[in-house]
Amino acid sequence: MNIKSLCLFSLALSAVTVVPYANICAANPVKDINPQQLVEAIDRNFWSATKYIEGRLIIDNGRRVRTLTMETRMEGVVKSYSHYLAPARERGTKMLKMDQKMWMYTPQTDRKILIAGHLLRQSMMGSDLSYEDMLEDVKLSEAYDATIEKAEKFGDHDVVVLLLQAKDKTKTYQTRRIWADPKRNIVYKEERYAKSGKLLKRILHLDYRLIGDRLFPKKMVFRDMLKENTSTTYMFDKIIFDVAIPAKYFSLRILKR
Amino acid sequence: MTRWMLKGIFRDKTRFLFPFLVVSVGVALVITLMGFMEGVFMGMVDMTANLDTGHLRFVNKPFYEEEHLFPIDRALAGQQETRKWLVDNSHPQVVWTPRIRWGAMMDIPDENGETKTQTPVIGMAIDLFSPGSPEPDRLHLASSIIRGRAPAKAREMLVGYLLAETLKLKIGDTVTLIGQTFDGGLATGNFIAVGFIRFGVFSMDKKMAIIDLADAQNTFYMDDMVTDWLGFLPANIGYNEYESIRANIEKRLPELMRDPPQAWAKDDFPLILSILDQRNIGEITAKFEMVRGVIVGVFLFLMILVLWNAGLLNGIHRYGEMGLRLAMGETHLQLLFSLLQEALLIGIIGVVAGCLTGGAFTYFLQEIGINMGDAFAKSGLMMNDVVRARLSVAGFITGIIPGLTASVAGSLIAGLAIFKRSEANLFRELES
Repeated sequence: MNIKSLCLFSLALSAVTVVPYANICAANPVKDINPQQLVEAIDRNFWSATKYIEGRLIIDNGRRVRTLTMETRMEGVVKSYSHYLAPARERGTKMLKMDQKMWMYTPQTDRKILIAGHLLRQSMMGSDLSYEDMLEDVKLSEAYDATIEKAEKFGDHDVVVLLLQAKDKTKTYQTRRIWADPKRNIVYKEERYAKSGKLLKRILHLDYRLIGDRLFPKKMVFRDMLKENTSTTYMFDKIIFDVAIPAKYFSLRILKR
Repeated sequence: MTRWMLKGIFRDKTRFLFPFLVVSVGVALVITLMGFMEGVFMGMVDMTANLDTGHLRFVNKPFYEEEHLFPIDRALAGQQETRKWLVDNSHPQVVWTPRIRWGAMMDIPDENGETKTQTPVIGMAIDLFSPGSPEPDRLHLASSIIRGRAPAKAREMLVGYLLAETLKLKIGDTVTLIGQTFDGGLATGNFIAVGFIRFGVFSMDKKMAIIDLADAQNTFYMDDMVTDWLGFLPANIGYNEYESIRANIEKRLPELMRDPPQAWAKDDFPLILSILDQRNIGEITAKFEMVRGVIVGVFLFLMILVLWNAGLLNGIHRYGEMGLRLAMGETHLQLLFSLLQEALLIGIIGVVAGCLTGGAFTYFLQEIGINMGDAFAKSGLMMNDVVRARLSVAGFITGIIPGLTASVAGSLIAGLAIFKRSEANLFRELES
C-alpha cells in the first residue's frame, strides 16, 4: 500500500468513527448545558438593578375585559412603586412595596393602607397576578437552584426544561419550571408551584424584542391556575433598564403626592 | 241523659277526679311542650329568614354555588325589572326585598391615617333609608344596637359588637373597606362606625358589618345590581306551604329565561329557593316533626295506660252497679257505651282545664321567654338569646286529641271486662 492509499484509508476510517461520535454528542445537548449558568444568562436578559416600565394590564376575568394603564419603578428585588393612570376609576391609585410590606393609596379613601403577609398573595385588582407577582422582581439565579429536567420542542424552538428549587423555604413559589432557550437565553414558558406541588401560575413570554443588548418579551400572559377562564396580559409598552430612580419613589411620602 | 251523667260524675269524686287530673295535666303538658318546641323552632326559622335566607330566595346560580366567596361579579343586574317580575309572578303575600352580601377587608387607621389593624369582614347591605323600608324592623335593629345608633345617612355603618371589640373600635371611628368591584377592580371606601350591634349569633357578631344598599352599590360599582332577592311571608302562612309557593314561581322561570332583563349576563341563571332548601333547615324541620310526633305519641300512650288503669280500678269500684244494671236489662254494649260517654265527658272537662292551664303557661313563655344567655349565640345556630314559646291552634289540637283519645281509649279497654260478666251468675253474686 502506498502513502496516498494509506492517507485515503485513514481519512475513510476517521469519517466512519468520528462522525458517529459527533452525532452521539449532538444527540445529548443538555449534557453541555450548565443549568445554573443558563439561569444566570437568563437573568442578564431579564433582571436589572433598576427598571422603569410603562405598561398595561389587560385583565380578562372570563366575563369582561378591563385594561389598566400604569407606570412602575423597580429597584432590586423587593422595592417597587406603581402608579395607575387609567381607567378613571383606578386613576391615582398608587402602590409602594418595600420588603414584605406594601402600602396602597387610593384617591377615594385618601389613605395609605398597609397590605402585608399572606394578603400580598391575593389577586391584585382582580387580575391573575398577585400583589407579590406584580411588585417583586426576583433574580432567579440567586433565589433558586436549577437542574435540567429534559430537552424538548416548544413550538419551533429547542428548549431545555429547567426545574428551579427555592433556596428560601418561605418563598411563595417553592418550585418553578421554565422552558428556556439555551441559545438566546430567554424563557418561553414558566410554571410556578406551591410547596405542595400544586400548579399556581402559568406564564407565557411572547414577542421578544431587543432592548439595548437584552432580549425582553413585549408581553407576558399570566394564568391563575386556581381560576377558570381567566388570563391577564402584561404589555410592556416601554421598559428602561438600569435607570436612575430618585429615592423619593421608595418613600411613603410619594403615595400622597 | 248527659245532665244525669254529669251529676253522677261530679257526685262521685272517685269516678271523676283522677281521670280529670290525668287528662288536664297531660293536655297542659302537651300544649306547653308543643308551644315551647314550636316557639324555639319557629324562632330559629324566623331569625334565619330575617338575617340570612328569607322565606324565599331568588339568586343567581353561579353566585349561590360560591356564595362563601362572595362573588359579587355574579350578582343579578336589572334590579327594577327583576323586582317587577318577582312581584307579578309570585304569591301576592310575598314581600320581596333586595340585599347584597359582600366580603371585604376592613382597615382601621390610626391618628396619622396609617393602618392600625385589619381584618376580613362579611357584610350585609340592606335598604336602610327608603321610606317605609321593612328591613330595619325585620332585623330588629333598634333593639339590637347596644351602643351608638342606626345609620342615618350614607357612608355610615353598623358593626358587630364582638368585631368592634376585636378592632378596638369606638363610635365615630372611620373604617376603610377594601374589596373587589363587580368587574374585579379595586373597591375602597371609607365608612363611619355609628353603632355596634348584637345579632345574637356568634359568627355574625364576630365578623359582620351592615351598610345601606345604595352605599354597597356605590362602593362595589354595582349600579342596579343585587346579589339576593329575599321573599318574606306573613306568620299565618306556615313553613309547610313554602315549598308549593316556591314551586309555583319556579314553574314560571323558563318564561323569564326566554326573555330575561336586558342587563342580565348571558350566563345568568336564577334559582328560586325556600328556607327549607338552605342551611339544612329542611332536615332540621323533618327531625323536629318526627320528634314532635314521637313526643305526642309517647304522651298519648302513657295517658292511655294510666287511664286504662284508672278504668280498671273504676270497674272494681263499680262492680255492683254494673251487675245491677245488667240485671235490670241493660245490655253489655249499652253499658259500655254509657261508660264511654262518661269518659268522653270527663275527657272534655279535663281537656278544657288543660287547655286553659297549658295555654296560659304557653302565653306566659311567649311573652316573657327564657333567657338562654350566650348558649345559643356561641353554638353558631341562628337562634335568639331569649327563647319564646308560640301559642297556636295546632298546639291546642295536638293537646286535645290525645286528651280525648286517651280518656275514651282507656275506658274502652277497661270496659271490655264487662263482657266477661255473665247474667246467669248475677244473682249468685248478689246473694254473695
